[in-house]
Amino acid sequence: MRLRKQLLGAAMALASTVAPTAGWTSSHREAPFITKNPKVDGTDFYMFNSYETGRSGYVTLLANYLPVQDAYGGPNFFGLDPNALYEIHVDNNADAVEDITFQFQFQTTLSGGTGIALNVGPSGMTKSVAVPFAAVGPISAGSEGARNVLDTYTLNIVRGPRRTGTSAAVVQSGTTTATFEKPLDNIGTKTISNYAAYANSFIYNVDIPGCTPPAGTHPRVYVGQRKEGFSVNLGQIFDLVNFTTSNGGPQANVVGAEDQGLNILSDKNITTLALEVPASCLTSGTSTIVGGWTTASVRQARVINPTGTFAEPSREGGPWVQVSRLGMPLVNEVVIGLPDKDKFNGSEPKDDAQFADYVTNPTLPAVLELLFGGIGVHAPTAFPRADLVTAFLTGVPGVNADGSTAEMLRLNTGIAATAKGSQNNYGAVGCFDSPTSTLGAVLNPGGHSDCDAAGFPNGRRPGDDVVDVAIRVAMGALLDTTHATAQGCIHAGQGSCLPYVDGAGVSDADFDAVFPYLKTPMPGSP
Amino acid sequence: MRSLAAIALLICACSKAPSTSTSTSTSTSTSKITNQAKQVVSSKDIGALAARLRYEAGHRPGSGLKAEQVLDAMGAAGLALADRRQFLGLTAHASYCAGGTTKDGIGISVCEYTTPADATAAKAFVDRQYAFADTTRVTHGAALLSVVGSRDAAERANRAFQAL
Repeated sequence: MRLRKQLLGAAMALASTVAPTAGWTSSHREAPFITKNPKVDGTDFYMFNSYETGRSGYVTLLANYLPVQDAYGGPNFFGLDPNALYEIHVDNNADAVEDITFQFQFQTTLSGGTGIALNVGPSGMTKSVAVPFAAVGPISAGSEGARNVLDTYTLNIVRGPRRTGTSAAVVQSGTTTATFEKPLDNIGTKTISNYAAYANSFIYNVDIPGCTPPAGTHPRVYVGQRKEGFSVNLGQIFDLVNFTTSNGGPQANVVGAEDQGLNILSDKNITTLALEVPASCLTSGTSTIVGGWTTASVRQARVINPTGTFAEPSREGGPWVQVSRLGMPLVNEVVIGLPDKDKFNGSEPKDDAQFADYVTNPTLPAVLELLFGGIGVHAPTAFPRADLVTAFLTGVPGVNADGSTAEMLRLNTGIAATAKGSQNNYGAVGCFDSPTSTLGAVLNPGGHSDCDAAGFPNGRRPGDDVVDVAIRVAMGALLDTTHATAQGCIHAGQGSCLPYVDGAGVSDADFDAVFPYLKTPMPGSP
Repeated sequence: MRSLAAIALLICACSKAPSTSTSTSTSTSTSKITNQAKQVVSSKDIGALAARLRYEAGHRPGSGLKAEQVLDAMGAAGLALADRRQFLGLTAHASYCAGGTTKDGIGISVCEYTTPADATAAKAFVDRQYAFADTTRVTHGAALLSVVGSRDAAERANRAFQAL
């Protein structure tokens, strides 16, 4: 007790000496500070009109955290941080300020409070000793007696500002139970022989205060480990020696096949916070467009407990400080400069004017030109890059522009979902007329067979190949040819353009057709 | 991801204009360097991209057409670049590359090789690996000229190139 008081006192003292406006921020592995805090590292955010059969009228939100999980990462595996606040924000009135926030908070406890113990030793000398494992026997849906580490969470909906708005608990449907359980990670097939069925038992029908679901349906929530859905090979593409020399290893061709089998994340898992919400619950007034982004926050002060316990390895206090932010994919990875990455992670969309130079004068095309200029790749010359402002900061007029200028993932909930199997993994990019010598790209949703207006950048589905789209748009896919000499293609078979790829393909075929869409995670052992 | 961020930062340290004072290597030393470069098999051997660019700028072929010479000829033919920049030569199996874009959106790059045979072989590789639409590539001596844009511009550029 005395220790607790000392720790808390120290924490409060520390908190009071830190200016509240200081940039104690971080996120995703792309920013320096967040690499020290993987549990609050937001990696991907998906927001799309649900395409599961019978779920029209719903929007699915998938917020991924804790990157690059190797399935065998025991004995602790990949629990989320009980001292953090995980949030999904939605702006529905185009002011780049959250109007609705979904807040997840986690608790981790040992079975029975002290963990599963075994009696070890001969008769008369037996001692009850706690086991070092997360599970000590087979586990299945509804049968978790052998589970040693229990993860639960609460989910609140906040209307108004995230810290001062009106908060209400999301509850299990038809009950007042406001606590949900998170499945154990996929330890391996001997512990959990049918992980898919086991994980599905943690999908909850829920009641969200103030939301009216489509008749005969309920909103749903799931939190747990899934197979990493992001697909990328950027590291190798820009490792030019691997790229250009014949050293025997796999080599990416930046204008080669869309999928060259070079997804570096193909054997990784991720932790997903999945929520399916009635679209009518997210929108406001007559507008069908919403902007979304995720964050994670931790307490401003942390004091390490010198005699740490499972329940209290540290004491944390002070106000919440945002350390992770993610809306549009790849923004903080390949747009924001290294000196500002942590700052971006602590920022809010309403203040994005401070990052405008990174969009209007981007470095990525310059990098591509530097690497590939000798073979005819040239960076666009239109400055400031108004096309990138449209792609990243305002949304596309006639699709998902809402009048605000801020970095958010924007979704027009009024555009019908495209079913799995019919999705174009280049999404809404194919909805543009090809640039001409005198005009930039013109939106023409009805004019192209490869137009899928329900896809990125109108929201983002798991199967949207956002890396290829981002590279092509960065290389001037939406510009006229005078200002984009070696512009990226926006249509299959388009002539005067370069079909930039990263060699790591992804499509709707790589995902499930039902909530939570991301695949069952890789097992820790065969 | 981190590689990209690092490369983006390195850009700031890279020379934006082709070097005009580093082409003093003898053919003997260039040959030795070329052989060394062919032994490079991983980024650990190359080091930072900026270092590679400096290496290429400092080890240009001692003879043959220079990129500056070709780009000056392009300017005289009405294809002046708005800004000249060094490009990574390794991508085109070249010792050194430079180029840029005209105000009309014509992309031009020139790569230098040790021998005409090297240039011819590199052109064959680049044409096979990077068959870009609207890109014309021609060699002259130990130099490779790439023009991205209209056929007219490419023909004009080629005439000026071959006249050197």
